[in-house]
Amino acid sequence: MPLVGIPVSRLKQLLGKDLDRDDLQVALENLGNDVDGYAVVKRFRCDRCGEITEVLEHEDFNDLCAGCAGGDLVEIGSAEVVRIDLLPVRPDMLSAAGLARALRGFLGIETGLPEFKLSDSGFRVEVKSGMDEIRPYIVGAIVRGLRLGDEGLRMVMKMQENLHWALGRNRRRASIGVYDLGTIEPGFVFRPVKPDELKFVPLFGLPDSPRAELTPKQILKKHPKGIGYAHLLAGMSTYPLLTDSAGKVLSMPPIINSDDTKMTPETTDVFIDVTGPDRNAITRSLNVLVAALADMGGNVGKVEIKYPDGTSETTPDLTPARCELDPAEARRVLGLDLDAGKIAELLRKMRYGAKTEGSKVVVDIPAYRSDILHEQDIIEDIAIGYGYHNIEPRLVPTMTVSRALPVEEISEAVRRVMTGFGLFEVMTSVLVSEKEQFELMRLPVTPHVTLENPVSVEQTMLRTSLIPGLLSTFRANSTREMPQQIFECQDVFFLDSGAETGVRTRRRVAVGLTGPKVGFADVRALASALARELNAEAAFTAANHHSFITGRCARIDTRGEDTGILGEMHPEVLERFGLGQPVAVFEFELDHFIKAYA
Amino acid sequence: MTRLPEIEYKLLSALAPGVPVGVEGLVKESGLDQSLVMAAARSLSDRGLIEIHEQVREEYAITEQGLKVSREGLPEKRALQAIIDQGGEVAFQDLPASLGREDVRAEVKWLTKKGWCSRVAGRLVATDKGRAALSDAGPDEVFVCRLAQMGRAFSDDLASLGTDVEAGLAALKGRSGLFKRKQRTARSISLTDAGSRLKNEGIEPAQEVTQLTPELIVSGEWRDVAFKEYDPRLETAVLQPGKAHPLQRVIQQTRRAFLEMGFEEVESPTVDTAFWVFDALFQPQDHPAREMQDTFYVADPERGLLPADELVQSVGRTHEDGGDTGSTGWRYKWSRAKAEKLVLRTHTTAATIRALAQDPKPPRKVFSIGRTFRRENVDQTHLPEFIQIDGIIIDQRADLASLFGTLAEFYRKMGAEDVRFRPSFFPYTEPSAEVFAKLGSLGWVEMCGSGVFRPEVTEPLGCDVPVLAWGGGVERIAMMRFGLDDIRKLYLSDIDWLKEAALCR
Repeated sequence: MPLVGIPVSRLKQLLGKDLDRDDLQVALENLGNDVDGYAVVKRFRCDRCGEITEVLEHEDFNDLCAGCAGGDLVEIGSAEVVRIDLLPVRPDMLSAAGLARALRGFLGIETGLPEFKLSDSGFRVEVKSGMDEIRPYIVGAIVRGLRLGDEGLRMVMKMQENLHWALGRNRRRASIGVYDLGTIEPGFVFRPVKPDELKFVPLFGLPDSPRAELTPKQILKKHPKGIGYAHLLAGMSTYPLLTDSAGKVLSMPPIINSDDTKMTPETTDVFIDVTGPDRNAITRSLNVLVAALADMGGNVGKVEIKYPDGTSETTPDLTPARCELDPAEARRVLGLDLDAGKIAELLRKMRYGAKTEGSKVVVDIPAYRSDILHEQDIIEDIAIGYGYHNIEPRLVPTMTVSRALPVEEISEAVRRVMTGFGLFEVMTSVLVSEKEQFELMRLPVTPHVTLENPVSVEQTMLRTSLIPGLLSTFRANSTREMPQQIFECQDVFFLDSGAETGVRTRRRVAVGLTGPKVGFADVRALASALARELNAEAAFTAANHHSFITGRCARIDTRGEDTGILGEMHPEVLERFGLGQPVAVFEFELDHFIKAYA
Repeated sequence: MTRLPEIEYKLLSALAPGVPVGVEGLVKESGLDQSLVMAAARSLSDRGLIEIHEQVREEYAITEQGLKVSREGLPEKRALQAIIDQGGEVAFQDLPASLGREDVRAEVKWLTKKGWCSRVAGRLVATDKGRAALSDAGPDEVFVCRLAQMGRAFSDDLASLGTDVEAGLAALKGRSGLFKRKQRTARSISLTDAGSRLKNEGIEPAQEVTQLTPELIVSGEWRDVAFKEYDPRLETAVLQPGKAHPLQRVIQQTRRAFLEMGFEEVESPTVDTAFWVFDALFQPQDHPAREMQDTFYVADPERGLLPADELVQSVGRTHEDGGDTGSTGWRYKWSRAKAEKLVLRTHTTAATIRALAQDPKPPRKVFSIGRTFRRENVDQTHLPEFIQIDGIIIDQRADLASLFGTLAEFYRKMGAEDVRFRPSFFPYTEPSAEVFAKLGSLGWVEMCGSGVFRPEVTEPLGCDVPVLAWGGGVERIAMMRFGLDDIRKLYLSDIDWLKEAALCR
């Protein structure tokens, strides 16, 4: 989860109330925020592209601008921030404005549905044909009268970034553009553009050439953001382009804005667009953003979107969704004795519109809440409004009888036997490599479960034997006192086309002894003892196995079934594992004991 | 003539007035057991005949990592060499490539701290001091190399060989793992005036019995001998019983807590279909947690079998438009093929949700503990595999208040003094709560996520009563309890740590 730093003074100003640090933190936490703490950030502006960067006071950082990857950063001030771990579920709380709105309700400063006054801007976005395949939908809004300054500009950029993450699925489902209205001629066109059709200066240009004019195709190849998001346009023969009435480029969604229409700290009026293949996601993103800008003092104007099939819509639409809530259901889920009136009051505290109507509660859901899928989501907000810390814990009154899994009970018995002999249990990785499992063990590769997307070459498959893990443990302990005696009691995995998931799991115990004097007889004695404690007799027959010294390896049979292998490790195996002391091991499968136990 | 126990006699005989003699040497020469020699020394000292001097000495021992540094040089030295080889300056973004490693923060930190490089407009530039340092070993390097030659050594021995120990340690501050430090107590004894007088008056050894033998008992001779008195303060051999792995012990404590509270233990396949790991939990198919970035997909085998069609369809419909649950659903086209893909389970909720689907009739309490996987790079706090616990309660009378009550009891059994809850978000529960436990000196620690399963989870599986659920990792509890700062030490154990980690903690 990303951490976001909310400027404390701005938050208090929007809140209209001065809270001390602890009270603010408690209120934020009780609202469901994961507060990391307070910090001071230093603010820098890039001397080339103007991008504002914030860095924690004592943090090491790269002194190059991340925006244009070329300019030097100049310090312009500092601010105290409260750092919060972002949860994607409440994107409306990702900014100081949205957070203040929620807190005002929670603290009783202003409750109920927030009102937003929208005017008609008279502006229109015309969607040309050919967009269906590449980026079908667009919504937009005008916001006037903003006084941003450095901090406000930084907040808008951050909000955009956070919404891309939380609702936009990293721009795939929704991507946002914000432009200085003073740089463009209203009347917008959203249309397909050919890869080489025209040139414009992408935001911040290129690292070595801030005013470089590029074609859409060149942007995807050369511009840092173009390279980073090119996969979103892969396979398309035309790309989405947004222009003003004069044909000036605003942006090439979802990749990059034009450098000529970018916001500055002095910008007061902006045009916002959100585009994407998911109507729901772009609408929610726009609602969250304009609600926050309205709270920051902006006047929101509506924009008409005209599609080539003749349909049109006006955005943003901040009309709340209305639903009915049954108080009995809320009481049942929460275990709290709340009447309809109290429930309505708690919901208003959480910024819903709510009033009682007969035995029901009629609820208006704010248009910026993208997380309400079900009545249950509203019920959770009732609990948050009530305060989790005010809920009296109790137990379920129903009696149930416990039952343990045989595989775990047998494993525990095995651990008691082994620790009784003075062995130490180890736990090693289930994820291993073919090299460790087969090559180092002098074994041919046998069928095994492999990963499609491993993180490292050391972890590409699920283990088929516990012995290599013991040998690696000995390697890690080669400077420790000898002798050493360890065991592991865990699962191994095999392909099994007859199984539901194509994999067969087996619980095994493996024992390893190392030291100048350990040998075959030691492990044979331990294996016999283990079998006896499991109420069986072990029979040992000579076996051939490449991992062991010829003539010092045996198959273990119990109750007439092949149960495992035992012996002294081959010196070549020891050499491959980097071991300088003799090692004797046995590996013993527990499954038929588990079946018998069950 | 005074008669003294044999060892006391030997000790006094070996001492001359005013000359302290090391106990270690005496033990070696006499071939006697150290504990017997010390017992005799204490007995003499108690009677004012000798004086025991203790000197605490710092001993250092090189580690594997230290040996590596002694062979290859400090990482920043190698980095410096690389930078100078490349013309004496490298841009920050090129550093990983130049140094041949992803994470170069440590090198950069040391290079700038030591003044070997400075930051100039986005580049790391070697300084004159840095160039001079290339051919000159710093006090930290001298210290590590000398210690590597000796294996282990006392501080004063190192100093007597010309190593500036103080400067070496100061330069190595902020770095760990290159050597270990231990305090050892060296003892010596010297004769007091009283001891000297006694010796001059004449001493002789008396016969004492140390070990009571069967012969002494049977013959009755025991009546005529003096038994040597032992000093109970003296150290004896250090014994260590075999032990279960510390992580396993926390797992067993967790199992016991669940079993004592009437829970039934269940399991599920480690390799499972995305259906049980994600879809059945109402996690949309484009959810970031399902991406290749975060979840291990299995290449062979690739697909698994899904349960009965009716169940699968009802889950799919709930994703698309809420089905019969009253939800809006996620509003997208659900794909059966994506649900068939096999993954390494990312949580053990896959086990409890299977148990729920198999028998949704209340009342049931179910738990599972098992290995789970997330696609993380290995570092001090992350491993791609870890152990997770998961519990659910299916009950007509289950609600948020009883979730809190159950968790409070559960974590008290795990050693918490107090438990508290905070609103949170998890994709398959609503309401959701994060659970914090108060653990002695550690204060409030996040333990697990919890909540009431969403109707979109329970109803398609045929369950129409509330289901409480919670899940969390075990490693962090084990690390806190056994004082580990690196999660990797759990899965590649230091045998000394396994021996020392006390059973009761």
